[in-house]
Amino acid sequence: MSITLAVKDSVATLAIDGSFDFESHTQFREISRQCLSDPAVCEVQVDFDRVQYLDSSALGMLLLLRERAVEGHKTVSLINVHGISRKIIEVANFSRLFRVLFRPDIC
Amino acid sequence: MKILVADDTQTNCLIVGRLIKMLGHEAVFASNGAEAVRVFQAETPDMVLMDVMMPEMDGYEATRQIRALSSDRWIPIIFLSALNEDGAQFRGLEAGGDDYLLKPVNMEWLKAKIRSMERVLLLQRQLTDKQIHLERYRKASETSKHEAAHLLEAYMSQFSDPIPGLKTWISPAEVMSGDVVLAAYGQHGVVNLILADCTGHGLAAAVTAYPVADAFYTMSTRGFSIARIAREINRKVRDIALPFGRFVAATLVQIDTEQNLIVAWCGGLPPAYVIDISGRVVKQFNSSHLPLGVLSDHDFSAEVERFQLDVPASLYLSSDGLEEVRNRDGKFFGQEQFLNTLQKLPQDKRFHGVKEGISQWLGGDSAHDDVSFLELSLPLTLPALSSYTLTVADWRFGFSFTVVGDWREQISPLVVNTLRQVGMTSRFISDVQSLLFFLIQAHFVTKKSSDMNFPLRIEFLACSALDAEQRLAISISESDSLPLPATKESLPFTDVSIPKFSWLNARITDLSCGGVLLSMPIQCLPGAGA
Repeated sequence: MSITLAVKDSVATLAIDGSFDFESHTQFREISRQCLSDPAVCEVQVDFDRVQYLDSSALGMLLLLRERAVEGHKTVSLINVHGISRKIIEVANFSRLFRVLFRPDIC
Repeated sequence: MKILVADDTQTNCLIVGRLIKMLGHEAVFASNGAEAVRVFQAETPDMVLMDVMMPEMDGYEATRQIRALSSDRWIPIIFLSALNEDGAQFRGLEAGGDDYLLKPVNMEWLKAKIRSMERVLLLQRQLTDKQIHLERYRKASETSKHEAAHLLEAYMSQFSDPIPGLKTWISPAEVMSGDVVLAAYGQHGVVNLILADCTGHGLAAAVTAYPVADAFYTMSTRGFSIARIAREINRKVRDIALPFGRFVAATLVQIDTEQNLIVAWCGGLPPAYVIDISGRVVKQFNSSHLPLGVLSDHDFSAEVERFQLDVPASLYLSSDGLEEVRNRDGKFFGQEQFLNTLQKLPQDKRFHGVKEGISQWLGGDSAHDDVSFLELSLPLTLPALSSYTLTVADWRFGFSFTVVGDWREQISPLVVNTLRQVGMTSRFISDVQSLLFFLIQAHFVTKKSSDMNFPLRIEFLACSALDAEQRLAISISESDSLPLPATKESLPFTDVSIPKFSWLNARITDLSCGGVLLSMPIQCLPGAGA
């Protein structure tokens, strides 16, 4: 698992590669803190393009990211959500809290 | 360091011994192999300098024996020998020596060797100490985990009632599980179920599970609806768990056994299925809410879904851990396979079939997440209790109030709280509530009133010592003035039993002053008098 951060204008994109789970906790927290403290950032995008799996602790991390983002008047969106991530995010009804953009599955 | 010098030549012992002292270490001596082994046992030195050619037992054999005696720790052994040939050096290392120095010994070389061994030894000791420390820590942690698991299990078991036709299975990923599978009698022939998955596993998840179980059971027995229960659990979990990114995915189900109605609140778990005996899915409850503990009380939605069941069927709830069980190739068990297993098997084989399917899929490995699964056969017929027992008897209490709106929700918590304190089991209370609601409805009918706001007086009386028949009496009236009869003679009963509650052997009568009174036999435990 690795997370890369790219900031372009007012949008920070956290691209997660691999399995998004409890192991990602420290790195995810560090990087979220980094982009939330950047006053230029208005929107945080979490890119699920290369996420192979996510568990409930990852959902918890997203909730915490959102809580802090809301405090700083920033928005969080989940982009390129597909496959197993899509299913998990749908069952959890996270689209009520985040802007979720799905991408079609490539077979 | 203590260094053992084994040499049959006194002079060698003397010279090497002096060097050892000069380096600040202590020397002990042996003049042959057998003595070396004995001294080794008695003195437990940290290093050995071993001559090869010695009487009685040579250095190779002594080394082998010393190695066998000290298998739990590493002792550097350096051979000092005049045998200058490859074979001798090889045999020395083979016997377990760590180095080989030729005699006559160059003192500078020996000094350097001792120092180098000392450094390795030090490093090795540090590692061993850390390992011992870690092992001790691991054992202590395991022990406390098992103790905590045992305690939590004992606590949790008080939050579940035995329900006929209910099968549950929880397989924790660690010692403790964050999954909660409970059933409780509610009011008026209602049975409540919860299957909840607290995020994470192990202790933290299990600790979140406790307030979930507590709120579910307490509120169920007090007659709250699952919408109210879900809201309360949401509030509790949000306060304690969300700051740590934790929440609870859950399905709560309420079964009205009299009307065969299923009411469900689903947040964040896989669908709940109702499957009839032919394998047809007659109802699927999908997750329509965020998990519990995510939204504020204000934003929380307690909207429930209802389903009227007309055919015999079974209800299935599961945690996502079940679908996400992976086989050795990393492939998920999956929702489809779960549903297929349920649909292809006859009703009585499904529960076992799913468990079997999961364990085959795992192929002897353990699941990485908690797995839980529940089956309830419907329609649910609550068995009659053979006897109703009170642990506290000879009491009476009553409530007077004006009912506004839904009287069930208002009356239940009051009544249940009090009845619990006089020692009624939750099943007994559930039946008493059914009777109470039946009476209130009967009272309604006699009043022929459509007024939604009406005064109500409910009175309970338990008597054990008046005569041979111990009984519980419940009266419903409009005013405070209705006296409950104190003795059997003054009980104005006609022998009218209530068809719906025939097993209770209860009798009911209209009271002349405009109320209804019910009486049923009970048993009071010896010494139950208040």
